[in-house]
Order: sequence, then C-alpha cells, then structure tokens
Amino acid sequence: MVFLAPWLLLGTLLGALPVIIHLLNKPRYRREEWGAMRFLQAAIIRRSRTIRIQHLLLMLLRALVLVCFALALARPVMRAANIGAGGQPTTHVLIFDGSYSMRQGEHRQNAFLRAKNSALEIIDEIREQDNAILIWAGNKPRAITPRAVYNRAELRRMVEQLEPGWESADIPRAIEYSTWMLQSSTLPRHRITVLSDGRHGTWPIDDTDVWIDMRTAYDAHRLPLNIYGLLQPPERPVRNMAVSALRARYPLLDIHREAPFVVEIDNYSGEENAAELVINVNNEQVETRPLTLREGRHTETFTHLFETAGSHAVTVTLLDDDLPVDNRRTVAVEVLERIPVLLVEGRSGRDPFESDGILLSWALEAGAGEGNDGLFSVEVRHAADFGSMTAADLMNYKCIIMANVRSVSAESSRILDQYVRDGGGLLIGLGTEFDALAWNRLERGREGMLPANINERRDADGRPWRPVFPAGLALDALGLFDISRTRTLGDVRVESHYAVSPVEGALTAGVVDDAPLLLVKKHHEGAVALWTTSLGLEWCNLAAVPDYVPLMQNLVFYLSSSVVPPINIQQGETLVYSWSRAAALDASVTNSPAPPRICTLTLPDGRTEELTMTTRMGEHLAFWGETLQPGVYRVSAEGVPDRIYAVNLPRDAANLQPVEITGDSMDLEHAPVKLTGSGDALRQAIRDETGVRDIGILLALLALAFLLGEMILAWRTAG
Amino acid sequence: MPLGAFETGHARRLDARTLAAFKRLELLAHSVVEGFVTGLHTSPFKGFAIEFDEHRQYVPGDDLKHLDWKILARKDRMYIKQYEEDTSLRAYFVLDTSGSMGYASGRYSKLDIGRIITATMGYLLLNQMDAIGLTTCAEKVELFLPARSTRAHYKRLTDALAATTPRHGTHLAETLHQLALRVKRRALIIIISDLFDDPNSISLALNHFAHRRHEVILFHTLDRRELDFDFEAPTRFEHLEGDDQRAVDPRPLRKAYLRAFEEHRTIIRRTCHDRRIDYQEIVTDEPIERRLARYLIQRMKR
Repeated sequence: MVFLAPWLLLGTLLGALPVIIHLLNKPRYRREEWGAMRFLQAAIIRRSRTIRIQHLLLMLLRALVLVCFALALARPVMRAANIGAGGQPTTHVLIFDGSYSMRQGEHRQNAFLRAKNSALEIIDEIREQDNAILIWAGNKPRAITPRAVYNRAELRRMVEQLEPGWESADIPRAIEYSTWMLQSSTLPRHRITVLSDGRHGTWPIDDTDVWIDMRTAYDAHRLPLNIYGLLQPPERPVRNMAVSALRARYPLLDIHREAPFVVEIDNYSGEENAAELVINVNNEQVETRPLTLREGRHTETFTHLFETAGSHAVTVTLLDDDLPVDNRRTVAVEVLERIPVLLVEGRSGRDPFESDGILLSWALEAGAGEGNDGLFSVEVRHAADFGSMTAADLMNYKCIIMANVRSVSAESSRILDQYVRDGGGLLIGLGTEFDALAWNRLERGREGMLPANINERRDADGRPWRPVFPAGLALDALGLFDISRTRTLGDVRVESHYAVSPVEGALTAGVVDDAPLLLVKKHHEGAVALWTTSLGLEWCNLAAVPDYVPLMQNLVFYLSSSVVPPINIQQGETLVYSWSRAAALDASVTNSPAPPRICTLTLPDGRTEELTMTTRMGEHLAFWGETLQPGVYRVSAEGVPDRIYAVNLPRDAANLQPVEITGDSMDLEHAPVKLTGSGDALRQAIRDETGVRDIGILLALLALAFLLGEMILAWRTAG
Repeated sequence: MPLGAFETGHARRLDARTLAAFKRLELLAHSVVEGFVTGLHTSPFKGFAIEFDEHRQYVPGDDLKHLDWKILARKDRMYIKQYEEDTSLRAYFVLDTSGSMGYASGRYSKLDIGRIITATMGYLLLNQMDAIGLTTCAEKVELFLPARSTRAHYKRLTDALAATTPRHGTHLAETLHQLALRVKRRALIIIISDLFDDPNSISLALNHFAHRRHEVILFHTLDRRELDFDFEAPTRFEHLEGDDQRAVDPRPLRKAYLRAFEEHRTIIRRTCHDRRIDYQEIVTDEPIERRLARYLIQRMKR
C-alpha cells in the first residue's frame, strides 16, 4: 500500500486519543446514598466482566474510527495484488515538452512549472524498486538523465533545475527516442509519461504517419505500449500572434539598392486583433506599423537601404499578446559593398570577338560611374593563370566565371569543387575552345558539380534559335525578368550550342532549340550554372542586345548569393564563426592581419563567452553549440568587424490552441497514447492500467462502519 | 392537615420541626380516615371468631337459631347458647426502620410513608375499638408496643413513630420470626418494609405468620428511583446500611439491576399469593392518601 499524502499519516496518532483520554480522564462521580445496594451488587457481579469488555471494545472502535479516517485522508492506494503486474519494478520515463509555448502563463504558474510539479508528484510515487528516465523533447530529443536513475532525490533535483525551452517539440520523436533509452533499464515494466501543454503545434494528432513511425519503433523493440500524455494547457482562451517568418527577399544585399524584407505573421487567436509591428535594424527602430490581423497568416513587406556594408541584424517585434516569446524574429544579413568576381577566359584580347570575357566584364561593371564603383568588381584572368591559384585565392571571390575555358587540371578541379561546396558560385560558358570530354570529368551524376553531361556541339545551319526562359523555372536567377510568364528573347540569335544531358537535381532555367540553354545545380553550399552556348559573341549575339546586362548581372548575383555563410542558423545547430571569411568579406581589411587566438561571443541575453579559435583547412574557426536561445549572437574578433548570427524560434510551436480531450482521458487515434488533462486523471489511468486501487473511500466507509458500531455499542452499554 | 407538613425532602433524619409535625400524626390519620373512609357502613377489618360463653334456659322470644339442638335431642331440654363476641381485633404494625427505609429520591422517604400508613390505619382500627400494637425493627426488634385500644395508647404509638429514625442494617426475616412467636393470639399483622433482605428468608418468615393463622398485610414500600434506576451520570453509591461504596457508571448496569430487582419482587409476590397474604406495593411518589383509600375500599368489598 502506498500513500499519496503520507504526511497525513500523522493523523493516525489520533488513534491513541481514546486511550489517553481514558487514562487521563477520572470520571467525577455523583454521590448517592443508596438503600437497594443488594441489587446493585448483584448487577455489578453479573455485568462487570461484560462492561469491561464493552468498554475496551468501545475504546478500540473509537481508536479505529480515528485511525481509519486518518488513513483515508492520506489517500492510500493499493496495487491490486502486489501480486500482479502492478507490483513489478517499473521504469518511469518522463518526457518534458521543451517547446517555448510551455512558457505561456505567469512566471509562477506557467505550463512548464505545472509540468514540473506533475513530474515531482510522479517521482514521489516511485517505489524503491523503480527507476526513472528523464527526456527532453526539443527539436531533437535528448536525455536529461544519462541512464535510468533509482535515486528519487537526484531525480527531484534534476527536475527542479529544469527551465522552459526555446524550441519546438517533436513529441513523437521523443517517445521514439525513449525506446532507445529504455535499453538502459532492465526492469520488467515501463511507463512513459509526456508532460506537455498539449498544443496542436507539438501534438500532431492528425498526422497519422508520425505516430505509425513511433509505433513501429516500439514494436521493433518489442516493448509494451504504456504511454500517457499529461496535457495541461492554461484554462483561459489564448490570444497569441507570432512573427513566424522574416527573410530578406534576396539572399545577397548591397548598399546600392533598397533591400526588401518579407514578414509573415500568424494570428492563432481565432479572432481579429489589433497589433503593432516594430522594425529595428541593429537595435535602432526604423519603423512602427499598426496592424489589424484577422485569424490566419498575414504577410507584410518592408524595405531598408543599408548605408554600410557588413553584418547587420534586422528585427521585427509584434507587441501585446499572451506569449511574447514568439513575437520577435531576427534575420542576420550580410550587406556587401561590392561583389568580387573572377572571370577566367579561354581567349583573351581587346577585340570583343576575340576575347571570351571582355563583353561580360563590361556587362557586370555596367552602372559604375564616377564615384560609384558599381556592385561587381571583376578581375579577368586568362585560363592559363587559373592553374596557379590556390583555394585561399578563390575565397576572395564570390563568383567565378569560366568563359570558354578549354579544361582545368585535376588539382584545379578539386579546388574548384571545394570552392563551390563551401558556397562559391560558378558559371561555365562554352565556346570553340571548350573541351567537353575534359569538363565532363567533373560530372559525376548527383555527386558531381556539373549540372549536365556535355555531349556534342550543334549548329543552327543558318536557322538560328531563339532562347526561351520558361515561366517559373528561371527562379531568382533571372529575377529581373518577369518569371511569371514565359519569356522569349526575340532579338537573340543562337548559332551554336552544346547538346547536354542534365543530371538529377539540375534545373533547366532556359532552353534553345528545345534543348537546355541554362542549367543550374546546387552543389552543397554553392551553385553551378552551365550556359550551353558562348557567353560572348562567338556563337550568339546575346551580348549585343540590351537584355544581356540585366540577365548576366542577375545570374552572377544569384550565383554569388550562394556564398552567404549560414548566419541565420537553426536552433540547436552549431554556430561556426570563420574569421577568414570575415576578413575576406570586409573590403577594409587588407594585408591579411594575423588571426586572433580567441574571439568574444555575445549571447542574446547579454552574457559573453570567449571562444577559442582553431584552424581547419586553412580557415580560422570558432564554434558555439548552445544556440537554443533565440535572438542575436554577435561575434567580435580582433582585426575584423563584428559578425552577427540570428537564431529564431521554430514557427510550429506558436499555435497555442490546445488539443481537446474528451472525457477524463482519451486514446489517441492511430497511436498508443492515452491523453489526460489532469494529474488526477493521469494517476487514475495509471491505476486502471496497473491495477492500483484507491482504497481511501473503503477506509472512510470502514471508519463510518466503526463509528456506527461504536454508537450502537455505546447505546447498548448505556442501557 | 396537609401531608406536606411531614415533608422531609431528601433528608432521612428527622429534624426537630419534622418531629413536632409528627406529633400531630393523629390529626393526619384522622384527616385521611375522615376524608376517604367515612361513610363506609362496614369495617374493612373484621374479628376472627365468636367465642362460646354459657347456656341458659330458653324463653319465648329467643331466636331459635341459637337453640342448642344437641342438648334438646339428648335431654329434651331447650337451652339457648350464649356467646361472647370478640369485638376487639388485635392488629400489630411491623415497621421496618432500617437505613434503606430512609432513602428518598422525592419528597418522602419510605419510612415517611410507613409512618403515615401506620398512623392512618391505626387510627382507623382504634375507631373500631380494635387494639393496635407497634413493632419497629431493623437488625433486631427496636421497639415493641403491645396491642391496646385506648386513645392514650394511640398517642404513645404516634409519638414512637415520630421518634423512629432509619438506621442499622436489615434482618427483617429474623425480626418477623421473633414477632410470630411473640404474638400468641390470632392477630392482623401489618408489615411495612422495603424488604431489602433475602427474599427466601422473608418468605419463610411470612410462612411462619400464616402457620400461626395470623392475617398478614404486607405494604412493600419502594422508591421510584429504586424501581427505575434511571441514573445517567457516573455515581458513587454509598450504602445506607453500612460502609459499602460502589463507584460505577450506572447506565450499563441498569438492565441487570432491574432484573435482580424484579426477581426479588417476584419471589415476594409469589409467596404472598401462595399464603393469601395481602400484598400492596406502595411507591413513594404516589399520593399516599389516595393509595390507602383505594386499598381500604377494595378490601372492604371482599
């Protein structure tokens, strides 16, 4: 038998009260002079033994009444047969919902605190022979206890130290993870309890697949399914709006143009709400915008012209609702003053018809004037010089253009492949010098860098083709074009091009002669574009028409954008700071200063950490893994400007609408999970499962029976 | 005179005032008798026999029913039997004055009731020219007044009654045996007692009276509380006839007490019934004058 309120067992001491009263209480006798003593004596002789027994019995009954009431108040539960399965040692797995919605509510009454209290109550019920495993359900599940723990004090301490999370919670995955953790326990039974606020965002009860996956994992481990979900959402209706997305419309921003941003706001309140959107750039408020938000998703746009190049943080904040934590979102942007481009040409010369890159360099530098260097900084080199360039040399460029280059050496191929993998952009234009066999060595299907296998050259034979850019496929690469409809460049004549066989994953962004003209393929962090005709006037007259400038600028801009380092990182992912890149991107940094040994990381809450720099593959790097807290992470290092990283909350945990539970507990459809809405209901469900019975009522009835017996006996004794 | 004049409350010892009041017992008896018995044409108490005196010669006019037919047949002479009618009934009151008779839960103790019965019935008998005697007893005979039919004797009797106090234990059976031996001629024996003695011994003593052809009237005086034993609180019972004390919770004892009490009464009643003894149970909270009057009327109708 176990008592849920054991401190009330002190009440059983009241059972001694009748005995103490009996011992201490000397009755005050009335004096009576009496004649009929012979009859009294006869009665005493007849009844004395019976009376003594009755008095003892009365005292016993009174003590039992008090003891039984005290025991009943202590909420005793008995495992139906210490006997059956209920008595077997059990591993209790407690899964804490780490989603940020658990922060909702007053600090002392938020959902996470309720979950902690429920966990402590469960731990209090754990017996000596039981153990427990604590699991955190975040973006990725992780163990709070490295193994099954028997020590209840240690478990309590661990639970008490928990703080609400900043993530979304993948509950099914956390349950699945528990199957692995259960391997560390050898006890015959287990029970999994998920402590959550029961939001739709974290409980995908309608997503059958995730639950089937979870069940499959359980079945694979041949574990019985004892899973309970204790869902305790706040009682009152929730008014929540969330900034669920903030992004720059273009991945590469510069100081020459207004940078457009897109904000997505979700209103989960179920009603129209007024709100105010505040836009900050680098902690300075630049705009305040009143909004009226109907239920559902809203999109807002704004632009900002950055005056300086470098790392910037753009933050939007929504004011006033029940869950402030999801009202703010930050995007870190890298604003460039110039985009360094390396143009490698197969043929060099001052005549545009003899040079493969001169027209392209002019197109990229178009717009520059006196006092205005333009966006692109183009460095032209002959193909013969490219073989001597190192990986560090290539890091100075955001995009490399290979115009009619015959071939590259094996070493250059390796460096070029690594360059693209690290986020570089590569544009390959063909021509008469081009050796398709040599270049095809870079095509290794999905694993290779080239978007297509290059076959044979095709000539128009006097019937030149017109390039067509199909609607939608041109993507951001051709952002200047209207990509909502098919665009045919009628003035352009293509005389020759290479037939190609696109590899898996390649995107055909333009066609000519019903064959691909422009193919784009993402290769790790970077991208490669293949232009199947010449970039100059050799095989087509594109360079002679006005569309050439915007087309090439946009294409090179797009490819350069890939170089943007991952400065907007997902929660929990490691922040990687590259001092080398910071130095490379900053035009003011010259002469390659000596890298520092440490850098300073300022966390969103203002705390600072010193990070030690390490060198890997010629880059000077620092790492920080604890990126759960949303906000701006600023890295400062000697010799280079600060770099800003942004971490934002996942958008799927902002929906605070609770999963509705019908009745005290509900079996989740498609999943072996029993959902309950209160600790009492959970305990009752567990008792139902384990055969544990609450015998408090029985004891109370027993006490009443004793009381009735006492009254009858007292009445009989009193005659 | 109102009965309240003899009120003793819960006290069992008569104080001077009460004693003075009891000196007027005669008046009390007179009041009771005059109030309830006057107008009765026959006495409730009759003599036992008519004793033969002598013969005399028959003279005309004599009632033939007194003619001695045996002599007429044997000697052919007519003689009339002459009788000496014994009009003087001898009545002996036996009043129990043991300590238990002093118990009073209400206005009167059992002894008070005994005094009233004695005085009243004595007055009545004396008015019939009967002789009355008095014996008070506890552990032994305390006082014995032989039967007389004079007013002066009645005065002594009431004085003696007033002077009696409840004390000592009870050996009623022994006392009755002594009295049975002491009264030679047939007499009316009026016993007034709570009979708190061994019921079998009392039965034997009553048999003794019956054996000697005495008529016995037994007034069994009882207190209401002795009958009901309705104590609620823990009580220390101190024996009125000794040093015995019992501190008990009376409630659980009530049934057993009443059963013992009833057994005692049953034995007494059965003995009285078997020996044709007139048994009257008098409870102290009943109006004694009405109770006596009712008894006397019933007795007269027999």
